[in-house]
Amino acid sequence: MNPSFGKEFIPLQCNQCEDAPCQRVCPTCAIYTSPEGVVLVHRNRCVGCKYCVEACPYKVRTLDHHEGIVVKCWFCIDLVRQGGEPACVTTCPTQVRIFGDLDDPISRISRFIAQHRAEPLRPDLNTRPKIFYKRS
Amino acid sequence: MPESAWGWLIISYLFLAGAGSGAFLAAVACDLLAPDWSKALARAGSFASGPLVIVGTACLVFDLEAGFWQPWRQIYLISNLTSAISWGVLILSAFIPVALLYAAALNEISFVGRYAKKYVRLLEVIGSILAVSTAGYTGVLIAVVNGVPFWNTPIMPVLFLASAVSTGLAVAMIGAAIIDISTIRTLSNFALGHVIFLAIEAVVLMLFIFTSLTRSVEAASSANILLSGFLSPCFWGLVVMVGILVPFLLSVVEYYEYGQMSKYLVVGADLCVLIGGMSLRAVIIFSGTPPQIIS
Repeated sequence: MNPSFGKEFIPLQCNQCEDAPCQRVCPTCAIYTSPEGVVLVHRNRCVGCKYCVEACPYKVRTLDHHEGIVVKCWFCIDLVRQGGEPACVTTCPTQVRIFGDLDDPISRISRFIAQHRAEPLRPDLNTRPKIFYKRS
Repeated sequence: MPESAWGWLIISYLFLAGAGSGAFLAAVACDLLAPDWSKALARAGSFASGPLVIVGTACLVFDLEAGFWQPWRQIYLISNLTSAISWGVLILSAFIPVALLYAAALNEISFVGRYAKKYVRLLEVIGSILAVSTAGYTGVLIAVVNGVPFWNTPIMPVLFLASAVSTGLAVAMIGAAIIDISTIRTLSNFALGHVIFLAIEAVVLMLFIFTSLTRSVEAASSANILLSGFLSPCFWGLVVMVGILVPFLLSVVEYYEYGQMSKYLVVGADLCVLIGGMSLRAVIIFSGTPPQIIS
């Protein structure tokens, strides 16, 4: 049997988990979920212990050594609150990203997920990630 | 090579907190069980315990970033009781004063020591519970991490506790030799302790590695880094040979030759245990691989 090789590019970012392991392990309660469902870091509470960096299964948290705190994708929450979309969605030249309300069953994203059976990465890790991928 | 957000400071902390709480347990066991002529070990163990845990905790604080530059932020550290770090802060804050008081009591340091001596049994009971919590918690800290499947097992705290007991006994024995070199003969009594605890540590380590090989793909790849990968020289050389096998054999000889073994070999065996304890934590931290996200 010949070994089979494949190559796939997958953009990876914070999955905004519903049961976020980073939030559970943070000793200072610096990590919280916003009313919109976005996982955010309270920059005045973070002490930089890096426990969340270890706990994140997707390894998408990084350290800002200048401020000494952990930073992550915040889904451009300020743009979203003004009715816009995250910068990664609006700037993507091939428009592969869809942003929207997962709680709304008739939103474009919910219909897209249902139609294409898009799935999150490693749902078996039980963190209930909120980024879905349509993979061929 | 897998990258870890934690490095040598956290490894040193895991080692020092383990060795410090183990030294406390060794001191208590010696104070309760050993005859009067070998109390040097209890004195040395209690004397080393608090400072080791303090230096370990300092490593933890040095590893912080914003919490180090702006220390007032550390008050937030106890705000989340679902976080192992919050529990650790509470356990360390309770254990350090008890360990210092116990050292003062056994070594009769100043009026504090004379006062604490009246409550020495109480200090032993509370201190032992806190010492087991401190050593076990260093394992829980990394065992609850979802991001590294290799660490994510209940065997982790047991392994760290076993290693804490053997490194703690080694610290107490080296300390006893420093305080009073004439006790080196009586140290042969405690060589049996090394034989027992190193055997337990070896069994737990074997269980940990064997179960990791089948637990998940990621845990197996971490275990293979230790068994045959880039950390295998450190694992087989420092953890298994220097840390367990050599001191185990030396302790068996020490126990049977009873007081006849060269003092360099007696202290050498203890130093080997310490090198092994530090290496064990280092290879476990550095071999942690994240889950395979893209399958």
